[in-house]
Amino acid sequence: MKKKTLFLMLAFCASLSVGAQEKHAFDKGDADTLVYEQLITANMPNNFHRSVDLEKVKAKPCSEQGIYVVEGEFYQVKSMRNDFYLQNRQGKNEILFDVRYPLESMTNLILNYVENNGRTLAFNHHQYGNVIKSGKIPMQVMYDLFAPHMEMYCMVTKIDKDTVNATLVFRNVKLDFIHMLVFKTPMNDIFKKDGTLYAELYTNIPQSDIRNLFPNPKNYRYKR
Amino acid sequence: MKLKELFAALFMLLFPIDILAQTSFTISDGAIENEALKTKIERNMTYLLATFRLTAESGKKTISLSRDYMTKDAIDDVEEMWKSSAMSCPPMDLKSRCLHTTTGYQVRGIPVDIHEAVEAEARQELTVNFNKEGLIDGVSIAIEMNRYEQLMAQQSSDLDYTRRQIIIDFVENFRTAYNRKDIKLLNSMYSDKALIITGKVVMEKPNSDVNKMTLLNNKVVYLSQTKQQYLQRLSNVFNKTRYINVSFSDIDVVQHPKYDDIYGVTLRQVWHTDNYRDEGYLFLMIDFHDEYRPLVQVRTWQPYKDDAGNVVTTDDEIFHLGSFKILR
Repeated sequence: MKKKTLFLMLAFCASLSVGAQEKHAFDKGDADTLVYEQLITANMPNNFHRSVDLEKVKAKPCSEQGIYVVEGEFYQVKSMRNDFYLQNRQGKNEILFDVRYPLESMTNLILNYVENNGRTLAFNHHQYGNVIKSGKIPMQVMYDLFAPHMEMYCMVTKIDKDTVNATLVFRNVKLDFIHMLVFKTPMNDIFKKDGTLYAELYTNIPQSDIRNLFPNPKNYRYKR
Repeated sequence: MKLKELFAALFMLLFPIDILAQTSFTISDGAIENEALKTKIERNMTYLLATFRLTAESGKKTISLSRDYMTKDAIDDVEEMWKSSAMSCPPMDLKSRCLHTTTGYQVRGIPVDIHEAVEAEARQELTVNFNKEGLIDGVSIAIEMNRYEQLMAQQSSDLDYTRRQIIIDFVENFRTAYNRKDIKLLNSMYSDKALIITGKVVMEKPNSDVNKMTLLNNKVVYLSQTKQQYLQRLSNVFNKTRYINVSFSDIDVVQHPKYDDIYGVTLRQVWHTDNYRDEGYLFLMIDFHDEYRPLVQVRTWQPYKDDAGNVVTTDDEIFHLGSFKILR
């Protein structure tokens, strides 16, 4: 079988959800194991990026001079978004990726807008059964597996001089589940071409069972 | 002339007094291995800071910079900034890390005083970019960390989002453990001191002729068990059933107002085996003290309806975080 065909089959398998997997006799344990195996074995990056015409997008100016945001949508909470950022250099729009703008750069990087991403993803995969499996893969492999079939949203939750924390969500709209990565990564590695980003990975989290992630606590009476 | 006086005179000639008040700049750690390049960057930065100081002290409205130390783009940046205000770096020995960028190098956090700014905003920090040859090719006022902190603060309620999704992941693993009859995993998910309360509908016989004419009274009685008692009973059920399908819906996740690592999860559970089915409200108090090993401290189950289809537990009767006092 050709490598590309095999790769596409593995990518499809990785996108199966618990809901769908029940039809196919998979459960969360099996689903988590499957995702891990796909990530570990698919080590040849295909360099998947959604095609975007940077000159035709609707870019709004930011408070920073020369920086623009292309606003997308949010998912579940206002901060979990798929906005990305541009810089205008000599009249031409480019994806912003510059150490002067760590928040915008991290957002663009983990939403897979940065081309030729040679970084490594070192992850701990929290699976069913209190199993935590570690892995180190080319970061691009994760996007090649998940991004073609899933929407992406992210939220940068903390920046200091040395570390950037962020949450990235891959959402399967049809089957209503997410994979989630919680990044806690050194600032320098973001901007190093061969840097390593560290993340905790949670997979196959069903969303269809949720009534409210943030119910009003006033509805619940508390004994003092 | 005595030797001492000769040295003093030489010193004054070589080191005029005002230079003693200058800012010095050195790179503190090792993004740059090439010593010559490192020295060049240090020299160019020192030049920039000295020029700032001398121009500000002279009161000149324009600044004059040399292409020997800076590119034209950088000179344009500084001239633009100088139109708004002169600036100068306080006399100090600056040591800074030098970062790699896609186009060269960068030094951040250079303190400058903006002369025209109000006092509260006068102290700013510069970010200075260098090209691969060590020439300064960009100067900007850095966005301070607190600006990012302000951005983050807007999201402070959303920071909890990640934790709540981890809870949903835990709840799904919990459900899967029942479906797999995974007693070993369930044993690890419950705290050894877990409180387990199960509700049971008890039909009361009517105690008067009038009541005979109306619906029978149903009452929910609650049975409290320890973890060991509950898991023993559950193990017996698992052994007797071929097939179990537990499904969850209408999940609410609430954080305890006082203990931010304690969460209450309320949901509707349907329990279906080969010879039994029920539906009820499940409440779990989950303790995230160990983030990688959350534990169920309390589990309650209340029936939703009786056999006749009457609702026996209303929304405000469902157990929740406020139903339990937490002792720590």
